[in-house]
Amino acid sequence: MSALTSASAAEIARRIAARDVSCVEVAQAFVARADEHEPAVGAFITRTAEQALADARQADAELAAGKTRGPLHGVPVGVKDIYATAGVRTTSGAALDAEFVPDRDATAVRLLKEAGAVVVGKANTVELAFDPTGRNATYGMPNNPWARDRMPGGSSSGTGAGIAAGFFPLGLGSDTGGSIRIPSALCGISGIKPTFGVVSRAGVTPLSHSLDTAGPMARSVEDLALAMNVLAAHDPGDPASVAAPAVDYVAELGGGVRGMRVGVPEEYVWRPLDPEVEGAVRKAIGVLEELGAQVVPVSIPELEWTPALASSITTAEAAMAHRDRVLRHGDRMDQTVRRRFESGMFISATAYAHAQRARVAYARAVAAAFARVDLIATPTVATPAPPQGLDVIDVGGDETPVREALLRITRIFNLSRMPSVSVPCGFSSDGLPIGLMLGAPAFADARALRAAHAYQEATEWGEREAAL
Amino acid sequence: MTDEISPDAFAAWARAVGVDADPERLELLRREVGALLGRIAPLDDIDVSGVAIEDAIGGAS
Repeated sequence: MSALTSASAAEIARRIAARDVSCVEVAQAFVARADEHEPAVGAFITRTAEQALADARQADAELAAGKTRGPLHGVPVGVKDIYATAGVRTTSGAALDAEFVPDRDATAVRLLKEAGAVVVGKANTVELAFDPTGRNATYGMPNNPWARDRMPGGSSSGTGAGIAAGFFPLGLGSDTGGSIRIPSALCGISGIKPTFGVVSRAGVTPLSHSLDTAGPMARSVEDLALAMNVLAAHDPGDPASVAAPAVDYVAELGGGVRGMRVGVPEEYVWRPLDPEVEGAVRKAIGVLEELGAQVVPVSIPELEWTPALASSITTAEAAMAHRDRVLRHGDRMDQTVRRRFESGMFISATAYAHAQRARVAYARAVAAAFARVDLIATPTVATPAPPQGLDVIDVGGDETPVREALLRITRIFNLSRMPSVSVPCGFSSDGLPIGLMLGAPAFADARALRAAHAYQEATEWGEREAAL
Repeated sequence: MTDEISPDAFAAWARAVGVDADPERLELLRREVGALLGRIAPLDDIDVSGVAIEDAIGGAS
């Protein structure tokens, strides 16, 4: 990669602000990088290179006139294709929406643009964001930049692959069961699933209304904090949006982890688990200890409920959200995805209500654990990126469905509606990235970012680049 | 779990929830639903008496 396309969003923003590089030079570098390598990666559904270059010229003109839009002035971003973009088609990964062009931006997209970001394209996603592998029958599965025969993870597959490939340093994902953190871990980048309600979902295609969370993915944890400063805002357009106290996530990055109590669950997250993933994550927890954190075992037996709870709530709510589409236009859907949606129609109302009551009990149990610790550390995903096309994978000796292997751990923080950050913490023996996940109590997003930043500053995993 | 439900009974169940499909597709869906119901069966053993329905469905928690 060139120096520019290897740089973090924060570094690019600093260089533009210092007039060390122009917005057009930055946009040209990223567009050229995607021109060369996109055919091998497939990160985009729609590229907006011409518009990005025009926006970059406008951004330079504003700088010349002494005007700065905000902290992302001139920074290229990729947007998962379930976020509405005014005048640019928004497919939601579905053939049915191949020609849909919204007339307004999703709130998160609008906030990024108002902060100066330059949208370089709409990133690939699985159909209606309902799969963790990255599979898409219409637009193709992006190839993992670290190994092209491997899954990028999903559903924010294009955002993960695009950042890892150097097509943009920062992007938008969404996360219902792990769809920001799974591709972040599998593609060797950083991602945060914020506290439920902190980032607006207005203009984002829904999947599961009680779990869907919007958030950023990036080359570095510092980039995530920069994006959260822009994205975290109350929005009446999203019924779940909360008016949380304003936080300066960048200012909160400093301070390290000295004195923090890091909880390590005794149950659930360690089996099934790839031995190389376990080794890397336990070493990472050791690094946090060396940095001054106190590592504390925590017992949360309710974590065993995770697969049943997440399956019932997500599948039932997905069927609620897209019932009309599935019943009227199901023949135009990927038939595997169609069946997944249809199956949600067989969950009774009483079973759904029972699952939601159990979810609240589950969230209370996780919250009780946080009375004794400041963070919870786990692997992000139980396995490095699986080979494309695989349905079942050996995870530490256990034959495990690939979807379950990918979703198993991240779902904890969807069900509890708490924030968690995935940060690169190592590589498997065959060169595939591994992610460490740091979770925090609701509205302590800044704490999770601070710890992840301290870890990233102390290690070199996030500096490695995929060779395309 | 739906192994216990005959294809004819499943077809009637599918029609009741609004799904109309040919026998081949219906059989694939029967397996999908069976796998889903199997995954979520452990929920029946969870005691939720400490959580008011309004706290769970109202969206406040």
